Amino acid sequence: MFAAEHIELAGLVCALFLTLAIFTRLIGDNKLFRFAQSLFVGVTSGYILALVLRSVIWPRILLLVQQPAQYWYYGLYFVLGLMLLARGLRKTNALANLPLGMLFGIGASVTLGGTLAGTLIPQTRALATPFTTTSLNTWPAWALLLNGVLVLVGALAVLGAFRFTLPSHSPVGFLSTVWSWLGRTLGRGLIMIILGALYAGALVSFYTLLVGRFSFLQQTISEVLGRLGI
Amino acid sequence: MLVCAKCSRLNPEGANTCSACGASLAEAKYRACPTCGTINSIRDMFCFRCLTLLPPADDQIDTANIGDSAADIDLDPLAALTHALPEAQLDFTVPPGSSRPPHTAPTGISGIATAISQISGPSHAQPSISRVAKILIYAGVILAALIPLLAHIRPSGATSARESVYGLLQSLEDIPQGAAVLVSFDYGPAYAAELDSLATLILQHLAEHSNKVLIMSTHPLGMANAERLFSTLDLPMEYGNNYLYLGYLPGEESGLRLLLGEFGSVFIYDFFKQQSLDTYPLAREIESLSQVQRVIVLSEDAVTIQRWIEQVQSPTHLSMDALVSASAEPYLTPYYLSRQLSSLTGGLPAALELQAVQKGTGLDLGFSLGLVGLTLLVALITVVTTINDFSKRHKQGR
Amino acid sequence: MRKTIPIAAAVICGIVIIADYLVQVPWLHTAAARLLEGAVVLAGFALVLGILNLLAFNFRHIRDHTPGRWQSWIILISLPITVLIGTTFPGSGAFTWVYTYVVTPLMTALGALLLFYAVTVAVRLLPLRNGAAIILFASCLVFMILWIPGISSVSPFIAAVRNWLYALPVGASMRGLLLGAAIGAVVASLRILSSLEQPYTGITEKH
Repeated sequence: MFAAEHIELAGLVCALFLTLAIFTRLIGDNKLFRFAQSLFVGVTSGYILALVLRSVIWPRILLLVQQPAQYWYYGLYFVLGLMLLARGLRKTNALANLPLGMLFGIGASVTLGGTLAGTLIPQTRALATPFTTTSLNTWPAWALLLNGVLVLVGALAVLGAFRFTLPSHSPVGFLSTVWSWLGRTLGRGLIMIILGALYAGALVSFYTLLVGRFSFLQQTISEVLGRLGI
Repeated sequence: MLVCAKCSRLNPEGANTCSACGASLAEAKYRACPTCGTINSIRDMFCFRCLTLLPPADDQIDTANIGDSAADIDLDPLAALTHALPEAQLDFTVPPGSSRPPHTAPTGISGIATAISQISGPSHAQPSISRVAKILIYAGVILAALIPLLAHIRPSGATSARESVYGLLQSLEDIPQGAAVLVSFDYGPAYAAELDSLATLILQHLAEHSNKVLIMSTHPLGMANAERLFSTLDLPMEYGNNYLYLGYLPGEESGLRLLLGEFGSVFIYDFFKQQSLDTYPLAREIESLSQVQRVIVLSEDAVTIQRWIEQVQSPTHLSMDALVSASAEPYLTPYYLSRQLSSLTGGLPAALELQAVQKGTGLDLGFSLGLVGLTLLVALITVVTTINDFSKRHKQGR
Repeated sequence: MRKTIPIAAAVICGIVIIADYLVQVPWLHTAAARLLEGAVVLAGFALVLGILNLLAFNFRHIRDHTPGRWQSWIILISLPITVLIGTTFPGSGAFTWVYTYVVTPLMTALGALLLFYAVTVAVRLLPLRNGAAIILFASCLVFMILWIPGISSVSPFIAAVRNWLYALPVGASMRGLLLGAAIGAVVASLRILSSLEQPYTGITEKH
C-alpha cells in the first residue's frame, strides 16, 4: 500500500503537470494541452454525473423503494426522467417533449414570478426614489434630488436603447421615437460606460486567477522539491 | 441571420438576396439573434431576449463576423480555448433544455468583445497582430501577475477600504450571536483564488460568533469547494451541531424556489456522510428558511445572485449578502442600491482590504502594484493600437 | 398528440406555479412544491442526458476514425472511471484526490489563461476610432484604477468618486439594462406559457 504522503506527493506532481500542460497553450496549440483539455472534460463531467446520481437521483430511489406509498410521485419523476433520456435516440426523441414541456412551463412561470417580484417591481420602485449611498447623505437636498433625477433619466435612456417596437404614427409612437433617440445618444454612451466597467471587472477577476495560479506553482514546486530532498 | 421580408426564410448576414425566393434582402425588417435565435427588428440594438448586441443595420460593417467575435480573433491562440471553455460550462452547468429564458446582460468576455467589436468598426479591417507584439503582451501580462509574488510591501498604519467592505462588516455585525446562517458556495474551483479569501473571512466570523452554518450550493462543484475550504480551516465547529453540508441543488430558479419549503424534503441526505438530515441536531433545529437569519451567497457570476434575489430574497425578505467575482459586481449594483442586497462585495481587492481593516494593519501592496502594472499595460496597448490604426488608415487614404 | 400533450403539460404546470405565487391555498402550494421538486429531478436527468450525449459524440468520433480521436479516448476512459469512483466510494479519499489534484488544477489554469485572451481582446478591438470607443476605454481604465486595493487610502476624494460612479452611471444604467432584460424575460416567459413559443417541441409560431 502507498503511504498517505506518497499519494499526496503524487497528487501535487499531477496538479503541477496539468497546470503546466494548460499553460503550454500560450506557445500555441499542442498535444499536451489537448490531452489536459480532454482530461478536464472527461473528469469534470464524470464528477458531475457522479454528484447528480448520488445527491439527486439515488436518495429519491431509496425513498421510493422504502416508502412507496408516501413517495409514489418520485416514480413519476423517474418515468419522466427516463423519457427525457430518450431524447438521445432518434426514434424515441419525441418522448422527451413531455418532460421538456413540463420543465419549460415550470421554468417560465418561476422566471415570470421571480422577475416581476424580484427585479421589475423593486427596480422600477427604486427608480422613483432618489437614491443615495451612505456617503452621499452629507450632500445638500438639491444635489440629492438632482442625483435622483439623473439616475431616472440615465436608466430610462438605457432602457430606450432596447427599442421595444411600437407603431410610429401614434402619440405613443412619438414618445417612443423620442425615447429611442435618448437611447441612441445618452443610452448608448451609458452602455459604453457599463461595458468599460464590466471589462475592467473581468480583467481584475482573470488577473486574480492568474496570480493565484502562479502562487500555486511557486508553492507546489518548492514543496515537491522539498519532499524529494532536492 | 436576416429574415426575408417575402418568404420569411433565414439567410446569413451579409447576403444580398434570399436563398429561397431570390428577393432582395435590403428590405429585410427582422433578423435572428446570433446567440439565441430570437427574431428582432432589424433596427434593434440588443436582442430583446438575451441582450446580445445586434449588428447595426445602417453601418457598413461586415456583420457576418460579429456574432463570432471570439472566433474572429485569429491572432489569439486562445480563441480555441475560449470556445472549449464555454462549451464545457454549457454542457455541465446548464442542463440541455434549460427552462429559463436567457435575459442577462453581456457580462461574459465574449459579450464584451462582441460589444467592443461593434464600436471599433469592421473586423476585417482590423490588423492582425505580429508574433513579436504577442510575445510582448504575454510577457507584460506574466510580469504583472508576478509582481504580487515578488513585492511584499506593507506600509504601517490603518487602511481605508471601499464602502462595500464596511457594508459587509456592518452586515456581519448585525447577525445575532448564535443565529442560523445559510451559506451558498456557488462557485467552482476556477474562482477559488478570488472568492476563497472572502469565504474564509466569513466562516471565521461566523465561527467566532457561534453562528449555526448551513452550507449548500447551486454550482455542481460548489460543495466540493466548500469541503476543501473547511478542511484547510481550523474552525471551532462541530459537524452536525454547528455546521452542516446540505448539498447540491440543481434546477436553477426552480431549485431555489423549492428551497422555500423544508430543507429535509429538498436535500434528503447530507453531502458529507450521506445520512438522512434528521440524524443531525442542527437539521432538526433549523428545518427551513424561516428559521434562518441571514443568507450569504458566494458566487462567480451575477446571474446566480439575481436568481437568489428573485426566488429567495424577494418572497422571504431575508437579509442577503452577496460576495461575488469582480466581474459580477457592476451588474449587481442596482440590487444593492435598492437594498435588496444587504451588502455587495466583489473580488480579491475587497477581501484584501477587509483583511487589513479587520486586523487594523496596513495592506500588502503587492497585488495593488500588480494591478497598476496591468492597468498601464492595457493603456499602453490601447495607445499603441490607436496610433497603429491611424497610421494604417492614413496610408490607405493616400 | 405529439405536440398537444407537451403543450398542455407546459401550460398546466405554469398555471399551477403562477397561482401559487398569487394565492395562499395549502393544496395548491403542495402541488406547486411537487412540480418544483419534479423540475429539480428532471434537471438532474437533463445533466445526465448532456453527459450521455458527450459520450455518444466521442464514441462516434472513434467509430468514424476522425482525426484527433485519441482525445475522445481520453474522455471515454476518464469519465467512467471518475463516475465509478464517485458512485462507489463517494466520501472516499480517492474522490477527493481526483477533485483536488485533477479537476481543480485543470479548471483554475483554464480560468487563469482567460487573462491573456482578455488583454489580447483589447489589442484587437480597442483602437480609439470614435467617441463610443473612447468612452469605453476611459471607463475601463477608471474602473481598473478604482479596483486597486487600498486606493481609497490615497485620498477621500477617490472613495467619493467611486461611490458616485457606482451610484449614478453604473447604478442607473445597469438598472436600465436590468429593467430591459426583465421585460424581455417576462415577454419570453409569457410566450412560452401561452404556447406561442414551444422550444420543447422545436416549434416557434411567427408573430
